[in-house]
Amino acid sequence: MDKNQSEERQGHLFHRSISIPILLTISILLLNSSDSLPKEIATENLAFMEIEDVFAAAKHLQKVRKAPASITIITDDDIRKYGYRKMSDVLNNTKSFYIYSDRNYDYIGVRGFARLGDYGNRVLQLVDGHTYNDNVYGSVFFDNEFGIDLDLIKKIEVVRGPCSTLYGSNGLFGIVNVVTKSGHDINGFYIKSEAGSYDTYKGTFIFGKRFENDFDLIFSVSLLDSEGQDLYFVEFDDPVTSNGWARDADGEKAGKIFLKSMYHELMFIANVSWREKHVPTASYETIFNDNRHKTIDQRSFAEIKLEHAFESNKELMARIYYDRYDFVGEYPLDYPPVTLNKDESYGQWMGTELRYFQRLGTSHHINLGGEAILHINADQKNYDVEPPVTYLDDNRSFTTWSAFVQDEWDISLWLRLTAGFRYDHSTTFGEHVSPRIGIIGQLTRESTLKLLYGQAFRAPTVYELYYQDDNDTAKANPDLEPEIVDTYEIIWEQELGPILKGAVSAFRYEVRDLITQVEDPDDGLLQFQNIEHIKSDGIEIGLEANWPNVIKGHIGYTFQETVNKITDQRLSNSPRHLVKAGVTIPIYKDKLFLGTQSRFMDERLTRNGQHADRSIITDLNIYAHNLVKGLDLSLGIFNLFDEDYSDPVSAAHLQETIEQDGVNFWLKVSYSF
Amino acid sequence: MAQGKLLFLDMPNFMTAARAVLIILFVILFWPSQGKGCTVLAIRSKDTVPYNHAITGFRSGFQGLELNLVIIDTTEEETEISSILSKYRPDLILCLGTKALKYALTVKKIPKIFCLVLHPEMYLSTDYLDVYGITIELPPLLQFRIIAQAFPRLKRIGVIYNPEFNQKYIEIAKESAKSVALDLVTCSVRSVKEVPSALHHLEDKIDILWSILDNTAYGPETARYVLLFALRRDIPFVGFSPQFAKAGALMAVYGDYEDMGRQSALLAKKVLLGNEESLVKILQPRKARIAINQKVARALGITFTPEFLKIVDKVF
Repeated sequence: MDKNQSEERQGHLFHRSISIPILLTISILLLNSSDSLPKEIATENLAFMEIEDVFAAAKHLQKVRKAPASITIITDDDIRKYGYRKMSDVLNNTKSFYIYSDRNYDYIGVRGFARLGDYGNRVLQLVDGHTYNDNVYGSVFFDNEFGIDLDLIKKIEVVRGPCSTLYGSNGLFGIVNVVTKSGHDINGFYIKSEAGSYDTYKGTFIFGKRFENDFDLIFSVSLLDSEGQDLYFVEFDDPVTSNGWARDADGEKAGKIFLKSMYHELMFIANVSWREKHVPTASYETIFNDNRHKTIDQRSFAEIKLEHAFESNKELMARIYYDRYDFVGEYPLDYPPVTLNKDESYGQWMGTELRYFQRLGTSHHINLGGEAILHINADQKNYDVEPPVTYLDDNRSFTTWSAFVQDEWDISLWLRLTAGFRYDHSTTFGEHVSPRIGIIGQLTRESTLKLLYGQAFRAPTVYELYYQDDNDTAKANPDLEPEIVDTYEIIWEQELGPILKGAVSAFRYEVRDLITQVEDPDDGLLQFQNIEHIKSDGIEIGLEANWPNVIKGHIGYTFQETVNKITDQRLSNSPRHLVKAGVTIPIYKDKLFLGTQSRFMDERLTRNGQHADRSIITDLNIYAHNLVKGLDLSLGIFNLFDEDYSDPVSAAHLQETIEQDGVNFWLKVSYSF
Repeated sequence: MAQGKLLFLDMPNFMTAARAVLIILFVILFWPSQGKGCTVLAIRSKDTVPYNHAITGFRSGFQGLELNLVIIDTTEEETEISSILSKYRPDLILCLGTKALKYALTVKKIPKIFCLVLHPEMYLSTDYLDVYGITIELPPLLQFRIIAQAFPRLKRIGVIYNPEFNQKYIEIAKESAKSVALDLVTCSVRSVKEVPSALHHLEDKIDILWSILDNTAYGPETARYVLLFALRRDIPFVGFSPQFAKAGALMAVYGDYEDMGRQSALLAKKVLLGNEESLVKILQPRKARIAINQKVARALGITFTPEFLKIVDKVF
């Protein structure tokens, strides 16, 4: 299929997608004309109306207000109404966050900081409080390799700023915590079929129930299959490399299984995910348009958690867990001869964590705990399949342990001081202490002022420490130290009447000993070294509106200036300006909703000083709820105005930037019973 | 001879006696449902727990008397209901909910008792002489007495309401509040869009937020918002159903559906005995139930007295 055919196909899809919502609207209006109850009966039924438990949400909102950080909560309602397909969609529309893709993985940037090729390992990813980053690369999983379907998510808590005081390594710039649903939230069966552009199909099955004896169970399976696109890369526009067209080289398959059961204070959670992605970009000097180039990620974990609330304001949380990560990368290389090279890594670890909370008197809330992790395997291997040559076969095991304490001291009704520190010890890098202090003033009922300082660290990953390929291109650096960030932030949060809420914050990040891959002038080999020092200054302004049955929306602007302190140059892949805006509006009662979002990203430097142009991307989603009882329908049009835009990519690519998707569609049909 | 005489003399009597026996047997055989007791047709607006509780109460109110209770739902086909009516020929119809009452009013010549009906006066014109019952709404005075017991130092109660539907009830509530030395601060809303500003308007003027059956102020579109607002602003919220207390209201005061059933049974017995002259056409529930949420109480720093806890029915 050539470019014209591809456009024709998309145009056809576009017309079809426009006609569907019109038909949908008409059908809903027709359906609803007959099913509405007379007002007096509807009012009488209020006496028996089921109401969703809001206590946890309210407690959380209060916690958010008093938390020593800038926090955004994304609910399952937002996920449905904006038509999000994967975690990266959610974060790409969250203030100060941005996503960039090299057409293999989606990576994350926060407040102007996104190092090309860092696997997102400066952000901590949690699932119900369980660390999800792997133990070889420290990477996050926000694309289809993430093990939790969006249908299973109750809310996503996005915390900006350092969080090593409570969570240790990786929480350099923030946390993304996914809170999953319980069986009670599903209460029956849920099936969903999805279809999208590029011959993408997905099916999901969920069963969830809370039984009479309070045993709660949720189980889910989902499968995704995508043909992908035929993609054109100007860098390969040569008859030898199929005139720059990579055909049948963008396919993707993914599968996920999730199980969570709860009985009173005890919870068991297990998750397995698998994803295979063909890479169309010929990264790592692979043969262009060879669809053997692919990566396979498998991530799984199981955890048992006990949460117990004692009388007189004491709470205990204990957990034990087992995690595993498998990666296989297949790289067809033409040395010559043409050879299939494989990169494999295998991580296996188990750990235990204990947290204890106690209120002392009326003014102190003490939070203390500790964690110990045994990294049974953190292995890396690189080899040619035929003729068999092994370049790397590195098998590691190490341990980490930590202890932390934090006190929230309510000095007066309106003033709270939060202070704490965490000690981390690892057999790979030694030890580190991360302190944090925050002063939160509740100046009026509507106004909150937060003054924050925190230090966070990221331990060098096993990949950064030990990856080498027999002195061909890269060498190890077992002497790497943790990189450290000091953060200063001032936040003003203001409620503006019953509907609007605003926040302004100014921040400074100073990163020391940033781990960066550089070429050693002595031998020309690539090596990770603690050499860069980065400073990032910025401001954030956000406004949120929540007017029931009228509008729910947000707009956020972030300005950031991120420079290398040694060279005084702007960092690559760091946009100065970011704007995110979104709104959901009920079109017809609580049946039909329109959700639309736009995001502006300023131009970004590529790794060699070129530019990725600024872009404005708009998405639109129409969501129909209970079309007939239990049946929901959602149609999303992404990149509605077909904006041409590209993301900078790492040195693993010949390309400086890689073009991203044009207008594309996603249809979801779900049925609950 | 004697035997023949007997036969001769007794033949007509024998035939008469036989006819009598046959008639009695016929009556016994073909009048089973209308024997000593009475037949009541209970029509539920739908098959839900509160209506079933009311039916349980109704049965217990008939203790000592034989009651043949036939239960149907308004969801059944009309032809089915008609055939049930003609089959059982009930002495009385018990209507549970407005939908059931509206349906039963189309049936003539059978007295009706309703319960769990909101604003029944809307449907009971002067044509309906044989309809009596219990509303679903608790009298405000009964609620305020309970609330005052929970919060002895309480002064100001706030409520938002749609005047189109609840003006009269609010006027009664204002008078009731005065009688227990409380100040009812009201704010009217005509659409759900006005709810946020109404809450904002009330928040500094009230000690507690009370709720009533009002689809605009506390309906499915606003209940969660109101609850969240109250929790975030540390305002104790009193709901009108146990579901509110479970979801995050500090407490809920709601009708005792089983007792409403018993109350209906009392009315039914009087009607069946022909004592309806003394009856008031619409009664209010006489008993309330109380639910509290201890997690919310802890979060708000509220401790209920042991005396109050003794009268609480449900704790979440």
